[in-house]
Amino acid sequence: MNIFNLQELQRLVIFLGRRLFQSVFVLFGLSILIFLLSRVLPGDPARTALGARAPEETVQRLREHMRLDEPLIEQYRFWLFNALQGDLGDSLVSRRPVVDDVRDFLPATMELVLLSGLISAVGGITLGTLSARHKDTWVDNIVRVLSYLGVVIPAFIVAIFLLLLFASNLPINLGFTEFELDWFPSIGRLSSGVERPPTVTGMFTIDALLAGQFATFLDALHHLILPAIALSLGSMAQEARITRSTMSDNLTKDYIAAERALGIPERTVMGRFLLKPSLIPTVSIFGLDFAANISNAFLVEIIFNWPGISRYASRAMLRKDLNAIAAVVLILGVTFIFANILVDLVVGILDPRIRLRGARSD
Amino acid sequence: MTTQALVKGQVYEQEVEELKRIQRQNRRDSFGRAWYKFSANKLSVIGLIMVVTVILLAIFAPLAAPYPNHVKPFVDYNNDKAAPSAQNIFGTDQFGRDILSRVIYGFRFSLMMGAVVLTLVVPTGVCMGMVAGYYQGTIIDTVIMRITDVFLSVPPLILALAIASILEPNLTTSMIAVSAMWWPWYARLVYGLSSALRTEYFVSSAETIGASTWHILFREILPNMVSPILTKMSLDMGWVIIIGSMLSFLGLGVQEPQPGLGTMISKGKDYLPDQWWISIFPALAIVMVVLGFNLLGDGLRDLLSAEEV
Amino acid sequence: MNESNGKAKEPLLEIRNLSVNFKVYGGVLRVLDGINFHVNPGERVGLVGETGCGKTTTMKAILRVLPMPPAQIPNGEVRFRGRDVFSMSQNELVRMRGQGMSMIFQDPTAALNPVFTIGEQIRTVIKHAEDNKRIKSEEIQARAVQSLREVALADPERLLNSYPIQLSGGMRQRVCIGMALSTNPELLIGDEPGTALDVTIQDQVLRLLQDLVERKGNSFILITHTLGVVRQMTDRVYVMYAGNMVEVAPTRRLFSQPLHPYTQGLMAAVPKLSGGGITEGIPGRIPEYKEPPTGCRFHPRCPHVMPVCKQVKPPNFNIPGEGQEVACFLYDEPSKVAAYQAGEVAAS
Repeated sequence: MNIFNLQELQRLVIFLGRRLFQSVFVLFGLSILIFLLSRVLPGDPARTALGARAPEETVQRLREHMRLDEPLIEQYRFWLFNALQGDLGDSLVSRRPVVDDVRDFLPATMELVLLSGLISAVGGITLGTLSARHKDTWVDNIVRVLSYLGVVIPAFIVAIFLLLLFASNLPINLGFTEFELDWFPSIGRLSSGVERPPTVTGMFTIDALLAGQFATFLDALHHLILPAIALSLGSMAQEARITRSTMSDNLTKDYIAAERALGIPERTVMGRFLLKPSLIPTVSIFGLDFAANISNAFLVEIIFNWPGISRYASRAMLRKDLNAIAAVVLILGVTFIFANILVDLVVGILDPRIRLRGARSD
Repeated sequence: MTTQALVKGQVYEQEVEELKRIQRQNRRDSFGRAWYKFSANKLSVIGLIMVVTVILLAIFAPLAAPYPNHVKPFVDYNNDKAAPSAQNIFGTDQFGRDILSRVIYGFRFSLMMGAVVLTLVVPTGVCMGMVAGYYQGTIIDTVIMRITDVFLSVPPLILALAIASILEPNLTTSMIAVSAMWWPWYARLVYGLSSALRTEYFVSSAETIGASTWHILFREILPNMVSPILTKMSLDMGWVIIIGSMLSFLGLGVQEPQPGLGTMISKGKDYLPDQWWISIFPALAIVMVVLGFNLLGDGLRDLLSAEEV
Repeated sequence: MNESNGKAKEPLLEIRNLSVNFKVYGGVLRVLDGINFHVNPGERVGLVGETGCGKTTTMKAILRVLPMPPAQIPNGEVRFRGRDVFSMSQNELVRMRGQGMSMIFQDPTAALNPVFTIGEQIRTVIKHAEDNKRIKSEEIQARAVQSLREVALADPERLLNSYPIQLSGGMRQRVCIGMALSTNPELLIGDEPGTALDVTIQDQVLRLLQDLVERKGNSFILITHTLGVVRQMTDRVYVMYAGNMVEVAPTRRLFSQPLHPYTQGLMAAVPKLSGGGITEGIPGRIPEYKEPPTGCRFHPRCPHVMPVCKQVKPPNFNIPGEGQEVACFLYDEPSKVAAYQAGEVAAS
């Protein structure tokens, strides 16, 4: 697509605008859902929020602050008003505003999820293409078996296996030789003694690069890579399967035969005319994969001792830290909604049929 | 006149009988053909065998498990963290409990999770989606599908976690939590199917002759969506079990000393890498269950989608 | 068929004993079974037969664009300008396609890539049809515009920036024709052009195609199941049934004296404006390709079936005179043809 074509650009903007408009409703619904979640709890939300040992006086003050005596709709209005101003209350666990906690812990998770998304997209599309181009050969068979296993084995189990194999001193005995593959650190985001880079994004790898601290970047990457791989295998397998099936389906399409028949060389047909339509279904599931990665991060972070939002949230959950739970659900929901918009935008750029829906000229 | 009508009636009844017989015959034939096709794919048969094995082990757990009492509060510090041996094929855990026995009992929780969640989720999601699809473009459609969108706007596990953590963490609440996040997927699937079906001729002709909405929804539309729903169910069984084990891994599902597979992995991971068997065998057990249901589900999908054509 | 005038009539395209199988779940479909076929330079050849008899497969096999995992070519030879197509390298193949021969696909909607603009597709075709790789982009653009003009499309500049879904079926078909002609091929293959469209537009498209072919003098293969079109547009006709060539004759000859029972049935099935509407068709359907009938594949439907037809595949019998050949045991001796010509229809 010629992005500089004004008409095209205009269509894209309209498409994006419509999509954003829809999201406003979803966000509104999400806020109601989260609000209800934090109020349906049997018992007194103020007491739960402060813990059993808080003095009655303080609890009463919070009760008034949360307007618990007023009708539910009034409470919601107040809650939403505060939420829009970035006030989601204090955390029971950290005794700080939950928004601050989220700001501290979210970048670590995003770093993990984004890298794993990158790995799975590159790996999945490459494997899927290989498999489709060499359909029914040994290459295809290996990719199919691996991607089946990848889909079936949950990420936290993959993480445990990877940890055991590549980040532990477990001796691996092959009969004639015994060795350890203790290649990666199993804990945290940086080695002890390594300073954290000046915070810009909160993602250590990027911050280190921005600050020009190459050694720190390598150390951060070294810590990041194994959990990212553990997280990526499932979606990589999913994407490989989808790429394979669309591509091998598209290979039998008439337009591929027509393009070949008109004398377009194989390289151009494959790399351009086959690739673009075949990527659309794969890209469409990036949003779902992102959600799956965030979900799986909850467990992978615990296994790798990764100080991200998920580990923070699972602690909050075990302690019934309502404000923290609400904040995490809200922030991850919002992230997911925007990730989906981004995915739709890319799909819209790739696929004119979606961009032009209902715009047939005759 | 009357005799004629009577004779006609008898003839009619005979015809109906004959038709019913043919129908029964066809059903038998098509079952035979279906099994033949299903069993042609060895992987599906392997999947079926795995699933049946797991179900049998779960049902007869007290007989199958070598140490049934190890699933209750039980401590044997003389035999804790013992490596796999003839006595304890999968080894023992940090309290000296036999891991094999606990894995076998663990299947019970996993299967119960899957069965209960699907029982709750499928009717809800199907009804919601079907109604919204049939009334596409009306306020009913908008309300139902916007609610669905809201539920789908949170990564699935997160919502389940939030719900489970706000309620009491145990097996029942985790099943409720997973159900609450799962029905929208069925609503969305069925919505697409039924909004396509509502414009089909058999639906509009039923409308024309004045069939009730109830009849149209449940006798005309629903039967035509059975295959994709069944396929999704068989594949979902594996996913629900995974989500269940994830919840119990995070401490929000099955609680100690009950042997949830996720719980066992979670506790066992602290003993990695030296006592790897404590977490690895329950992990392999989950992989086996999920693999079984997926192979089975893929086999069913091939079968059902081929029959539709 | 190779007459004595030898080199002068060296065919442009020649196919010998070509077979194509499709591997499908649970078996092999023998879709083409030893096809012989040729096109002389400047000749317009028709290929008729019912839907599903292997016409399109033949053409895709010639161009080597059959999707090859399901399809296999167990035997056969294709020569274009005397060169063996199946042993060509990728480079030679690319040069043969486009400039040598190009094809208009049956369904213009399926034949256009849905996610690229018309311009992106046609410009790529033009660029690669040019031996001089340094061709300027303005030149390509000009030629793209020109080729859309040739197929009578208005406002080509705007069309080049459109996607296939923005065009009507008729416009898509014209675009496909324009694209196939943009390389100025020596041999143009038209696979049922316009069948996917409604009749008036189909007629326009065919007339346009006829014009273009006449003006440019390309050799032309027209695949169709509409006999009227064949009669108007071709010099010579091949009749195909279930993966076999059953008859070939100069067009006029075929219409005045169809010999193969299948050809006769095909002619009889055409509704005549003057006569009593639709006459009888051919009973039965095209056979299954998984287990095709033994011997002559037409024998289960043939009104004149003989015992030999069920066992032996009939070879091509030369009918003296005008270059007519027919694969049918009814004509295994010249005397029988004479008898037929005398008006006594051979009976079993």
